[in-house]
Amino acid sequence: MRICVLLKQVPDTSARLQAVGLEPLFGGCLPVVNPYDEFALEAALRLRESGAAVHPSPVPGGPGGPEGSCEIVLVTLCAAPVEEAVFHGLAMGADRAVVAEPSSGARWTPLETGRVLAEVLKTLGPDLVFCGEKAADDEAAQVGPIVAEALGVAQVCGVESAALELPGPALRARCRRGNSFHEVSCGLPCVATFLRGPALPRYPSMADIFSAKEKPVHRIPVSPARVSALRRVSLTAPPEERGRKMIRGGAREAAQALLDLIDRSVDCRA
Amino acid sequence: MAIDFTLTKEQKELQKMARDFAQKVLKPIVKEADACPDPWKGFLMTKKAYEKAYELGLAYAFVPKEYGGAGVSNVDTQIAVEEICAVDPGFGCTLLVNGLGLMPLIWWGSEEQKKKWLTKATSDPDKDFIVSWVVSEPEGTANFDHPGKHPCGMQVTADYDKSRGEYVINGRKMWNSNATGWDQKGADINVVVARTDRSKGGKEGLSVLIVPRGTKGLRVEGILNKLGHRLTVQPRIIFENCRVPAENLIAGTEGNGDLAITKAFTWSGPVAGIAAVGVMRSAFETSLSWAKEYAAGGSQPIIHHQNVGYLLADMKMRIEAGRYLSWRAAHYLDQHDSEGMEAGALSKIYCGELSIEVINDAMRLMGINSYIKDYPLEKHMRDALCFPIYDAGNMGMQRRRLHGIMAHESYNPMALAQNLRQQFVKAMHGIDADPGHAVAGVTGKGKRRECASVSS
Repeated sequence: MRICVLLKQVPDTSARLQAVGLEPLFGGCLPVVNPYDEFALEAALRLRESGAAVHPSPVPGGPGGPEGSCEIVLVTLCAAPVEEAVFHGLAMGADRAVVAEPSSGARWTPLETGRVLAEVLKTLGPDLVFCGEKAADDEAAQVGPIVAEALGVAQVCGVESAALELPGPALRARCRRGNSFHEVSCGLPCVATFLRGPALPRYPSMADIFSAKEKPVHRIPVSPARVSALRRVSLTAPPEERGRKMIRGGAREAAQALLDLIDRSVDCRA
Repeated sequence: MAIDFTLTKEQKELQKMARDFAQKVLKPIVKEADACPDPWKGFLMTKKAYEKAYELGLAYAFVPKEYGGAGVSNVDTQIAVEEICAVDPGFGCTLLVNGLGLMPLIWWGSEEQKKKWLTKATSDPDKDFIVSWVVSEPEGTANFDHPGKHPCGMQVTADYDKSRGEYVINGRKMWNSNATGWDQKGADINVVVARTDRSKGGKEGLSVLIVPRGTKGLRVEGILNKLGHRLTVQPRIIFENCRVPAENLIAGTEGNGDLAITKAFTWSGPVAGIAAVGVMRSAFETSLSWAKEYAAGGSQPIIHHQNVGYLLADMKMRIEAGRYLSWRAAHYLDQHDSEGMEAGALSKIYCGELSIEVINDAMRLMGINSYIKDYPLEKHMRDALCFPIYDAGNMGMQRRRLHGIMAHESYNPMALAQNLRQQFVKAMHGIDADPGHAVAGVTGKGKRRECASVSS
């Protein structure tokens, strides 16, 4: 069996954006794996560790990985640096990575990204494709559905945890829909997009980290099928939020000011 | 000249892992464990974090791969230790002492000894294997290399009982981190420096022995109640006719216990240095954040005052200087099989003493609020006060070692800058142990330079 996990590298989610022209800058912050993709990778690793994912591939004609094993392949589009994300995924336990490298500096929208990733995935013949529900930087939430559409397979969204149903095989997933949870079953191959679930992504051990550099990373050139019509026309940073507010004045005035602040924060959340 | 401070992919990942571990696993227990009035209970609160550190390979990362460790370099160790010590240096000390104890075995042990003990350390199914470096004694340790025979220098003896092929250990030790184990029956492995030849001085009479947990005659008592570093534990140890088989003497250390002490405390020098950097860094971040948010009754946060900005600048430049000296010392150790006695001492002394100055500045910036337990600076100061006096104290052992190295006729002041191996030799030991008496091999013996005549 082969599980492909789509990975995106994003700026540290706690970093503050500096808007300079039309390009966001995240100076001085560390790049990280999109947290939702990290949950998807953790789910893939747990599926492998459960022992269920070792049956022969059900994908007709696809390589599906050697019988009796479960290979986890990271797939990423390198429109921006991805080195740290790929290395982190390999250190967590993925077996290898395929990095699609754009041959030009074209702007990559979710549509073009999803189409190109689907082309790469066709060459790998995965039984399962896991990815984050959305990316923490653009929050587009489009790549997973576009990949499923381009591959012509079903998509399960909002997944918090997943297991393999045997015989079948089928993916059994627990999905969040608003405040409710749904258990769904989906035949393979399929795409599953993940939210934060109960299983937190593991820390790679020292041994995992120092053996990750031995794992293969294949790079293949790609280019978008067409120039996107989407253009960014302006970019502004959100207003600075100070962690601490000093309220001055007597007790009565200060209490009223505090209530006003609480009211405003409640309004914002609503 | 290849000077490149860029972290490798592995080091970035290691930094992230250690930071995540420190922030998410260790940090939640620190405040309560630090405040616990009973140091033993405080130490036990760290056990789950220790088990996680073990699982991640942080506890025995320095052990070569062939014995189950990660075989990481000293520079790699720096990256992980800074992250852990930025949260708590006491916990970092517990991990550090595993290395202090096992490195002599890695350097001097026979293949059979390494396979037996190192593999045991790295394959514990309970994930709580802990090692102690049992050197310090209640009568003092700094003069371990005193040329006089027993009872000068090290007091604990290990007499060889030829009839039974065993060493019989007697005497008292103190300050030996981890030596309680998790149940006060001793660390899983207690690596003990003892005088195996009473007729010889510290440069010929000391050896290193392995005393496993539960060995009859090894008793732990009196947990020391410290000002800071409260997440790590140090007891008093008593050996009463404690017998270990002769095969437990680490092969190459017979009569070379002095070298084992010096090399182990050289290895730990940059680790202690970067631990101090971690604490300084946390203090800096606290004061920076305070300066950006606290107005002290004024109309603007205090960072808009020149004095505050300059104080922060002074703190930052010293922290960075300390970090790169530690990295360099670790790099030198990697290059020269840990024969970096000068580099190790320099980084340990400099960073440890610097940390007190930097945290003091952080407290000056924050004012009286820094003195209460609601904020972290008082803990940072309590922790930092330990750096100059633990892990072979800066005055009694580290500066003394530098004195011995610099006084020796082979000393090359540019060796460190030029990355030349500077072999430590026994003649560099013993200086200052017997004040007023020259040591063989030390420059100046029998010759004296006259003052240059001043011509009018």
